[in-house]
Amino acid sequence: MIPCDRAAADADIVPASRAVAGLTALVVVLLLLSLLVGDGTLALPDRLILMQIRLPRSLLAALVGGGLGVSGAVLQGALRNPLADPGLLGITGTAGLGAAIVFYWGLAVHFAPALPLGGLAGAAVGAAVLLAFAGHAPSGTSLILAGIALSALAAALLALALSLAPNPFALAEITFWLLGGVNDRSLTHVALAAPPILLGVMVLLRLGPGLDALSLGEDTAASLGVPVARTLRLAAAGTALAAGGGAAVAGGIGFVGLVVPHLLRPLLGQRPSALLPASVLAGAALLLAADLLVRLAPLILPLSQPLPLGVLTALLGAPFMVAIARRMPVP
Amino acid sequence: MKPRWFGASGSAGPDHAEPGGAVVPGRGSDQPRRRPKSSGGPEYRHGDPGRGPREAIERPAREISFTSPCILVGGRPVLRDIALTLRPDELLAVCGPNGAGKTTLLRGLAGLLPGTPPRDPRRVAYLPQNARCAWALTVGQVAALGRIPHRDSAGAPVTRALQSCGILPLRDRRVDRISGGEARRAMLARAFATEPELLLLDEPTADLDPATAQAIMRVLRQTAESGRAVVVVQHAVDLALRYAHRIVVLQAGRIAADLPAREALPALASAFGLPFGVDPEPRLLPHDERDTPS
Repeated sequence: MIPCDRAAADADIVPASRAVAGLTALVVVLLLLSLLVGDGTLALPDRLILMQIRLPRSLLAALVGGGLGVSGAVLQGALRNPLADPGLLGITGTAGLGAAIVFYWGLAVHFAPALPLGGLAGAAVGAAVLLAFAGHAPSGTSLILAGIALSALAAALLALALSLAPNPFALAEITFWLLGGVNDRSLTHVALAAPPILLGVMVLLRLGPGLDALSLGEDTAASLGVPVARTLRLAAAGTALAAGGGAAVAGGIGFVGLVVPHLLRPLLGQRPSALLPASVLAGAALLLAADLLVRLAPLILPLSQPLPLGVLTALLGAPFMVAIARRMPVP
Repeated sequence: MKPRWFGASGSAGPDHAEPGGAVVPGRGSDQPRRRPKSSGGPEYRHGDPGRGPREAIERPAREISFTSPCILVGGRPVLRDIALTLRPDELLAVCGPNGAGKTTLLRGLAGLLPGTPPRDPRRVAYLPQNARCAWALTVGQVAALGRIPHRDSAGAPVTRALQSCGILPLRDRRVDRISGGEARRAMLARAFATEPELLLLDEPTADLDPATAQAIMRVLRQTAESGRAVVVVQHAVDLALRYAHRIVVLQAGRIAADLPAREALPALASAFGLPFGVDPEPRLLPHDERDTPS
C-alpha cells in the first residue's frame, strides 16, 4: 500500500434522513404560523379569511418554494455550476412573458385563471425552445448557453409587451405581478399550480444517482452507464414544471433556487443526490418564512403597500450570495 | 465508416483473482517482467459475495478485441486501421506523441465515441484525462460513485479500492482539501471500485510525484495480474517500459508498434524521434520490486 498519514475527517455532516425530518417539522411549524399571521396583524382570523386568503397563500408559498428549491439543486448538480438556478435557464422569464401576454390582451379580466395558464404555457414553450436550442444531445454547457439566450429573448419580448401596453393601469399590473408574490391568490391558483409543481418535483427527485455521476463530468457519467442527454433533458423538463408552475402563479421570485442548495451543502455535504429531498423542504420553509416577513413588515416599517415577496427574496438573497461567494474556495 | 466492434472472444488463461475478489492481492509481483502462470480458480465475484445472484457470476476469462478501420472525431480521421486485442492479466501501456490519438483510442475502447456500441458499465471502467469532481465530495463518496453501475452501495469494493490506492485513511476527507495527487488517487479509486474486467485509464499518473506514480503503476500491474485487462495511456515512457507487460505505440493515428514492453524501446524512440541508449548519469530508481506492498 502507498503510505499515507494525513488522516482526519472533514465530513461532519447530518444524515439526510435527520435533515429531512427536521426540515419537515420546520415547514409544518411555518405553515401553522403563516395561517395565524395576517397582513400586519397577529389576530386569529375567522374561518372565511383562513380558508379563502391565508390557506391558499401559505400553500402556494410552500409549493412554489419547494419547486424552486429542488429546481436549483438539480440544475446546479446537472450543470456542475453553483450559479445555476431556474432563472438562468430562462424558464422563469418565459413564464413571466406568457403571463404578461395574457395581461396585455386583457384575457384575465374575463377569466381569472387565464393568467396562471398563460404563465404555464410560457414555461412550457420556454422548455421546448430550450431543449431545441440545446440540440440533439445537449451537454451542460449547451444547456446553459441556450438558457441565457432564452432569458435574453424573453426579457426583450417582455420589454416589448410593456412598452406596447395599452394603458398605464395594465403596465402597473404587469409590473407588480412580475415582482412576484403569493398574496391575493385563491385555491383555484393552488389547484392550477399544484399538479405541474408536484409532477416536476417527482421528476427531479428521481435524478439523484445521475447527478452524482455527472459531478465527474459527462464522459465519466456516460461510462458509468448514466444516460447523460436524457438526464439533462429531464432536468430541464422537470425544472420547467416545478419552477415554471410556480412562476405562473407567483410571478418572478428570485434567489430561492440559487440560495437553497448553498444553505444545505454545509449541513448535508456536497453530494448532489443528498441535497434533493431536503431542498424541496428547505425551499418551502424559506419562502414561507419570507412571506411571513412580508406580512409582518408593516408592523415594523411604515409601508403603504405590501412589500412584494420577490423583492424581499432578492433583498435578502443578494447579500447572502455575496457572502457565499466570498467564502467559496478558489478552484 | 463505422468502427467494427467485437465483444468478448477467444480465450485466455484462467483468472488469477483472490477468492473473495480482492483487487490487489498482496503478492505476485516479485518478478515484474514475468506474466504469472495460472493459479487458483475463477473465483472472482462482482460485488460482495452473497449479495445476489447477479453479483456472484463467475467471470469467464476473455480477451477483448477491438478493430476499427477508421474513427472520425469532428469529421477528421483520428485513428485508422486499429486492431487491438486486450488480454485479461495484462497491463497495456499506450504511448505516443501528443495528438497521436491515444485518448481517442481509449474513449473508443470505452464505447464513448459515436458509432461505438456502449459497453456494460459494470465490466468497463474509464478514467478520463484530468479527471476531477465538480463538487467537494469526500474521498469515500467519490470512490462510491464507482458502484453506480452495480446499483448497490457495497462497502467492501469501495474499501478495497481506497486501500489499493493508498487513501483509505483519507476516506472522510473532502477532495478539495487534500493534495492534487491524493485527489487523483481518489479518482482512480472510483474506477477501481467498479471492479471491472477492463480498466481504461488516461494518464493516471500525470501529476503525481515519482514515488507515487511508481506505486500507482505497481498497483495497476498487480491489478492486471489478478485477472483484469488494464489499459493505461502513459506519457512517462520509463514507467511504461518498467511496469507494462505490453506497449502499443501510436503515431499519427496508427498503431506503429504492438510489442512486449522489453522490446518496445526502439519503436518508442522512433515514434518520438529521439535516440536511445544507456544513460550513464545517476538517476532515481524505483523501489525494490521485491518489497511486498503492505
